[in-house]
Order: sequence, then structure tokens, then C-alpha cells
Amino acid sequence: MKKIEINRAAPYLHDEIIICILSRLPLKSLMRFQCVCKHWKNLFKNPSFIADHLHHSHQNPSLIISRLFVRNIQRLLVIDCEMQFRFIQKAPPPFDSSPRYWRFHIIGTSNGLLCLKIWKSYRFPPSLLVWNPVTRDLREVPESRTNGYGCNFGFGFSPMVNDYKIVAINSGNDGRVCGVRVYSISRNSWKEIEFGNLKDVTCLGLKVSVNGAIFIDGLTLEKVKVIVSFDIAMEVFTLIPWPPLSGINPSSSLTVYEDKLALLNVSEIGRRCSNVNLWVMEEDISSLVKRWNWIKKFTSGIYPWKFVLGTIWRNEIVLSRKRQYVDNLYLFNVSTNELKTFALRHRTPPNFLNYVESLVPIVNIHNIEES
Amino acid sequence: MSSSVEAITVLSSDGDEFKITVSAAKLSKPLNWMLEDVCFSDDCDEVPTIEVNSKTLVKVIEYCEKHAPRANSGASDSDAEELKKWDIEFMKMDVKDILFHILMAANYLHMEGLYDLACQTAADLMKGMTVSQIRKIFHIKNDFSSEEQEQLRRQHPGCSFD
Repeated sequence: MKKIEINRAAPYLHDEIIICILSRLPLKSLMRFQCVCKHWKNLFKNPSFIADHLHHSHQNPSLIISRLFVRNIQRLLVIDCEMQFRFIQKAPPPFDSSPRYWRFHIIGTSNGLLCLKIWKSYRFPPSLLVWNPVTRDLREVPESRTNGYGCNFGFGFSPMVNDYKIVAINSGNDGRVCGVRVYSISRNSWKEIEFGNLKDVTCLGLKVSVNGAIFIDGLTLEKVKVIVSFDIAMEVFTLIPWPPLSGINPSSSLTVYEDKLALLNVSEIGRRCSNVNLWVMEEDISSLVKRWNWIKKFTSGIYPWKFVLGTIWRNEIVLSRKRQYVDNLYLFNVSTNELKTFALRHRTPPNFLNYVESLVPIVNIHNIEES
Repeated sequence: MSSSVEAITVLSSDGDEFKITVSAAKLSKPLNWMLEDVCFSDDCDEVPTIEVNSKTLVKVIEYCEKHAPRANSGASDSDAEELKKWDIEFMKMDVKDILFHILMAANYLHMEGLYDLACQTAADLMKGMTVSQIRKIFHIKNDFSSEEQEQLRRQHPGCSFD
């Protein structure tokens, strides 16, 4: 703990200045400072304060990882921008009493909210939750049980309608889309939507959300890779071409770079080597012919091992290594091409998700605006 | 304003005189307005007062003079990097006991860069503090009743009122 000596007669600061300082504090401190006085406690629930705080939080983003620990307990781990690791101690309330049995999968994160698919026990189908692990606000999504052979979920926020939505894309036994439902947090209900242009598409597993859209990778009948884009506000789908990847069996991951849809891919070179590429989608709305342009922003050197893709965090590509028994996290700086290695105390799976801590509530969500 | 003027003189709230170059003064909107005002023409002796004490004004002017070249001309990345390092050093100096004064001055003088920097510095200092330390520096009284404290403790196990 830092020791600070401020003049005994520290001047009185205007509320405006105090609020500016508080909006820059990490949430761990803010949660503690709720106990300072009633005014502060209420301030932390004020929508404009929450939006200011979120704005600063976006400048100090974290990563979140879920993994199994000893005795098979699944826990969430947050890595903050100072490379400090922290467990999220409390599981969502209905599940914290028997953490040994619950299993979850993170569908997506947005403005500090996590959308989880959670199995209360192996005997029941999973249900969906939206959860803010900091404030412990929780919404159990109603009627979230899935039908059909498979269901792909996506989660995201649209500033235009100021709402968080879950899209559930159901597939039939041939793998093709047979139904789509959308859940809105502010309505707290599901509705069926049209999916005409998805009829011949099979949705696969990669997904990401940015700029009011959810992106999921897919395959057409002709086995051509596409990206399915779901506009959260308008609730319509658009198909976007896949970038012209080369290499043998390139493995890919959808992510976000400078607030744009981006794609990371690892090209295997020979039997043991690989390199990493970053493609960024530049959308040209005015052009009817060439609206979607993939620009290759970064190519790494060739390394004598096989990378496993993670995500982009700040200006760095986060990776791990295949079949590696020493736990390292690799960070490629996109501007300088520098490769940094971080030793991890815990063995981590490669599914890092971008995450920002926020005070965003789930109950009264309509008032919150992303700044 | 006469174009021959390169530096202006201002008074602090303690009545001390300070010189600040025109380009540095442009970092502050109110100072900029003053510059456009007639009081800086050659035939005017009136020295404007800035409601900031001398100790703080020295720091504010130091900041302005350092940042002025970049603000006026734009700068390369290496300059920006160097400036960032300078900012960190600047905030490390005996600023702790005048940090709040700097915050108020930056707010009053509408200096966005300095204000952001000072807010972030204050936040970094505050984040590890205890609740009672916070109450002390912000002159805040604990206005929770014992029932309310009990309720908060139940909701957030481990929260402390001291």
C-alpha cells in the first residue's frame, strides 16, 4: 500500500474534480470506497459516472480466461494491464453454493458484462446468464434452452439502441441454419427473427462482437468460408467474405483491432514452424462493388514452433504454444514486431477473451451509454 | 495584442509576478482570451491576476512551457514518448502536497492535458488507500448509520468502514 502525505490542510476539491478522479480508479478500489459516504455510494450507481468509468476502463483493458483447477473446479481468471493475475472469487449466486459441479462457457463479453452458458449439473441442459462479476449483477436468461441439433450463441452491445442482445442461431441435422432467436436485455424476452440469407450457411465456432455487430464464422453450401455479421440494432444478417488466406491448414480467430473486425491466422510452415498474420476489415459503405476489404496489417517472422491463437490486447497479439509444458504467454507488438514472453504461474488454455471491468448494471440497463 | 509580445506577465493570487511565454499561455483557454484582450498591448501597464497561488503557478507554467512546442507544432512519436516520461517525472516531484492545487488550477485554467495527468496521478495515489485515509484527504464524514453499515457488510463481505 502506497503511503501518501498530503498537506494537513488539503484543499476542498469541487465535486466535479473528485468525480473525474474517481472515474479513473480501478473497480477494486471503487468497490471499497462505497463505504466512504452515502454520496459516493450513490454516485457509483449514476449512469453518467458509470459511462465515464467505462470510458477509462476501455483504455486499461484486461483479459479473462476460464479454466479448470485442482479438484476440477472451474474458475475465471483476469489478467489486468499490469500483467497481474486475479481470480474472480465469487461464482454467480445460484451456482456459488456448489462450485464443484457447475461448468460454464463464456459466449462473449461486452462492457464488463459476461454472457455465460452454464451447466448446473450434467443432467440438465445448459442455461444462459448475463453477469457482471464486479457488481455481481445477474440476469438468468429465460427459456434459454436450445432446440435443434446445435445452437450458436453470440453476445454484444449496440450503442445505437443502447441494448445488449444474445443471438441464438439453431442448426438442423444437416448443419444448416434452421432458426434464429434474439434475446434483448432491456426487453427481457426472446423473439424469432428472419434469416433468409443464412439458409444455406453452416455456422461454426469463432465469434467476436464490435461496433454494434456480432460476427460468427460460417461455411456456405459450396464450402466457401464466410463471416456472418449480425447487426444488433436492426437484427439483420449480412454475409462478409473471408480474407484470402494462404498456407496449409491455417487456423484462425476472430478478434478486434482498433475497433474494427479483425482476423488472426497462424500459417504452418513446414512441419514445425509457423507465423502469425493479422487481417483487418476496412468497410467501405459507399462502394457497392467492393464494400468489404481485408487489409493485411501485420505478418510476424517465422518461429520454430506452432502458435495457438488468442486475441488482440491493446496493441499486441496474444498467443500461446501448442504442446508446451512451460506456461508462457506470447505477446507480439503489432507496431514494433517485438515478441515478449510472459511466464504464467498457471497453465492456461488459449481462449483468452477481451474484458473491461465496469459498473454496468443489468437491471436498469436502458440508461447506460457507452462513451 | 501587439505581435512583438513574446512573453506576458501575470500575478499569482499571492501577488507574485510570473512571466509566461505567449505560446505556453495558449495552452490555457482563459489565458488565451486574456492574450486577445487589450491589456497586453504595449501601452497597457495592467498586470492580470490568476487565482492560483505562487507555488502552484510555478508548476503550471513549467508544464505549459514544456508542452507548448508540441502543442503548437505537432510532434513526432519519439517526442511524444519523451514528453510522457517527462510528465511522469513532473508528477513525481514534490507534487504530492500540491497535487490538489494543481488539479484546481488545471480545472480553472481549462488545461485538458494537465488536468487529465493530475487526475490520473491522484487516482494512482488513491487506489491503495484505506477508507479512512480517503475520508481524511477529501474532508468527508462517515454518514452511514450502524444499520446501514451492517447491511453493506452483508452485501459485500470484507468491506471496511475504516
